[in-house]
Amino acid sequence: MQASRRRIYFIKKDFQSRFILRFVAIATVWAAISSILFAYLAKERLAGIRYSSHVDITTMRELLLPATVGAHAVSLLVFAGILAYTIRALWKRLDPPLRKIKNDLSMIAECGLSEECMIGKVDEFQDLAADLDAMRTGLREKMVRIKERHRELSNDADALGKSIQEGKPSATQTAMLQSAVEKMKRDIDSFQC
Amino acid sequence: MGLTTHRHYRLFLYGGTFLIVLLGAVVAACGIFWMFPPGLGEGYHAVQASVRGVGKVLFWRIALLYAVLPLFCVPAIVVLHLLYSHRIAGPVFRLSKEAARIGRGDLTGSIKFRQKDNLMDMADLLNGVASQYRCRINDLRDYLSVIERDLQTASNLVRQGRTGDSLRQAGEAIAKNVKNIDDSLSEIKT
Repeated sequence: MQASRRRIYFIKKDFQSRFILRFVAIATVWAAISSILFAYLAKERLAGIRYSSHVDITTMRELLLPATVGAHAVSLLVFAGILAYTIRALWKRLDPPLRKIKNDLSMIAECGLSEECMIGKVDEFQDLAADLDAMRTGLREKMVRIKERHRELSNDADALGKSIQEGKPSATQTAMLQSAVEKMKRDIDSFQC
Repeated sequence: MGLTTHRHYRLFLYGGTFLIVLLGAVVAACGIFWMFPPGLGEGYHAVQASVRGVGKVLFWRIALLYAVLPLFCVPAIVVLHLLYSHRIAGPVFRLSKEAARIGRGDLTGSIKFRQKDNLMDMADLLNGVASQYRCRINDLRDYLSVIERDLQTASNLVRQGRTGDSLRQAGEAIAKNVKNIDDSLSEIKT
């Protein structure tokens, strides 16, 4: 049993694009907020100094540091809040379809092949749900075929059993049962274990 | 919980993103001071002149700085989130491939994710599906083998014209194993 060696990192393009774009968008919003806030605070500071009769600053650092620190502190706080909300919202979006898929998988594992594996139309992981449903359908078709073969085998076995009880079994009956066993074996061999 | 992740996955995702933006903020702050001369000059009038000069170019320089900043922050965020999203997308991709194999009847595989991957429990569930059907198919094979063996015995006895206890026993054994198959198959809801 080996862990997979995936080398392609952009493997589910739609899902990953949506995942990444959320964070790119909030980083861009952060940059916009920072620049506007800094421009505003710096402008206020410059205006304050321009209309002041006494100026006790001599360096650019003293002039712009309060605005720089203030703007970035506020924008980082806002960003921290938006980031937390974004991650929470992302989880809220990803969690329900996966929970549903897990329930469906558990049902398949408990031999329930009759119910469709389906998630909401706008949910993430549509591909996974579709592939799991294809798996369920594949298993179901094979099992239905095996059950049909078993029905034939069961009928032939009953007929042979009755004949044995009545003391008049025939070679034809054993041949028919043999043929039913062969057919069922062929269907079972469609599984690789 | 649907989306089961590694411990601290969300925290690292949060921390990583915040760190990139924090570095961006530090770079922006340094950029602001780099764009203007460090001194404002000596005396009231020199300082006022410098302040007026800063005021004239401030908006455009800041706009330029914050337009350039995302060029560095965004690629870093893309790379970070590409790696983090891959820890969900990768397992989902593997699960899909494994499901397709199982659907084709290949129950041999046992899926194992990479150490840092999420959705480990789904891999276990899918392995459970493969293992469950593998056990059933193996049981069916065993029952069929026994039926085949008993049928061979019955066939030989019928050909020899013997209808005694041996034939009855073979018949009963066949019926018993047919019943076993029936029991095993009836548990599978199709």
